[in-house]
Amino acid sequence: MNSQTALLMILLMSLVVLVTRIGGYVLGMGFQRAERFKGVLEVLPGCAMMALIVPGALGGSTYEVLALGVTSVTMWKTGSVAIATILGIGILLGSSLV
Amino acid sequence: MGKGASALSGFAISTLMFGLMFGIAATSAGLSRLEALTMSALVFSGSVQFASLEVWNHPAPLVTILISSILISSRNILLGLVLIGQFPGRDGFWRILSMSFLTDPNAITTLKLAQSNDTHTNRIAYMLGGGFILHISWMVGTFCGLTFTDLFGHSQIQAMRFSGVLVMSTLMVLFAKGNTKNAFLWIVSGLCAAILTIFQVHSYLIMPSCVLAGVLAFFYKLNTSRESQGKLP
Repeated sequence: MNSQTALLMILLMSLVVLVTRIGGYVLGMGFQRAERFKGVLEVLPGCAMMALIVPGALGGSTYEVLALGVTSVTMWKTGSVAIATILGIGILLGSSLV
Repeated sequence: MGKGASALSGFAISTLMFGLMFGIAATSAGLSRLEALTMSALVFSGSVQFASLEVWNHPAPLVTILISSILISSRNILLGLVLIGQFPGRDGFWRILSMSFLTDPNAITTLKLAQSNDTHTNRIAYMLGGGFILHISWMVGTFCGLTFTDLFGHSQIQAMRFSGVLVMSTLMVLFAKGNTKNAFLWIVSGLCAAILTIFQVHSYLIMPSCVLAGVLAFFYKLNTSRESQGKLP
C-alpha cells in the first residue's frame, strides 16, 4: 500500500470510529426520557464484552486461559486493573519462554 | 479532569502494553513509523487498528478495512447509548468532545461514577481526563513498540496478542461487580458466544447475535418477573 493510500485509509478509519463514538450518543438523545429502555441499555455493554471474551478464551492456549482466569479473579478480589493486568501479562510472557 | 485521569491510570498501563504490541505488529505489517503513529493518534482504537493490520497489503483492500472498522467499532454506538443522560448540563461542545474519546474503560468508569451518585464531579471533565490519559499511553506505547521492535522475539509478540482479551475481562469484572442482577443475561450472552464459536460461525456475526441473545433474555426475565408479581395475592 503506497503512502498516500495508507494515509487516506487511516483518515477513513478514524472517521468511521469517530462517527460511531459520537453517533450512539447523538442518536440516543431521543431515548433520554424513555425509562423502559434503561434496563436494556444496562445489559448491552456486558453482552458486547462477552462476545469478545468468550471466543478469545475458547481459542486460547492453556496458558492464555490460565492468564484470563488469574486476571479475572485478581480483578474481582482486588479491584485493581494494574495488578490484574500485570499478573496476566506476566503469565503470557512467561509462557513464551516455556 | 485529574480525577478521571487518576481513575483510568490502571487501565493506562494495559493500554500502554497494548500500544506497544500494536507498534511491533504495525512494523511487521509494513507500516511506516509515520503511518503507525498517525493511525494511533487519529483512530485510537486497538481492536479496529489490529483488525486493519490483518489485511494491510497491496493492493489496498479499502472496502474490507472499512467494513471491518464499522463492524468492530459498532459497540461504540451501544456504549454511547448507555451514556445517555449521564452528563448533566448544556455543554454540548464539551459533551461531544468527550464522546470522541469514548473507549470501553472510559465509558464504564464514567458509568460507575454516575452510579455512585457523586454529584460534585464534572462527568464531562472526568471522561475527558480519562480519555487523555489513555490516548497518551496509547501513543507512547505505539512509539515504544515502533522503536524497540527488534528487542522482542516472535514468540513474545505472539504471546502478547492475547492481552486484548485480558483487558476486556477486567472491564467485564468491573462492570459485573456493580450489576450482579444482570449476571444471568450475560451468562446467556456468553453461552451464545461459546456455541457460535464452537460451530465456527463468522466472527462478525458473533457480536450482534450475543447482543440479541442478551436482549431476548432480558425481556424473558422481565416478562417472568411480571407474571410472578401478578400471581401474588
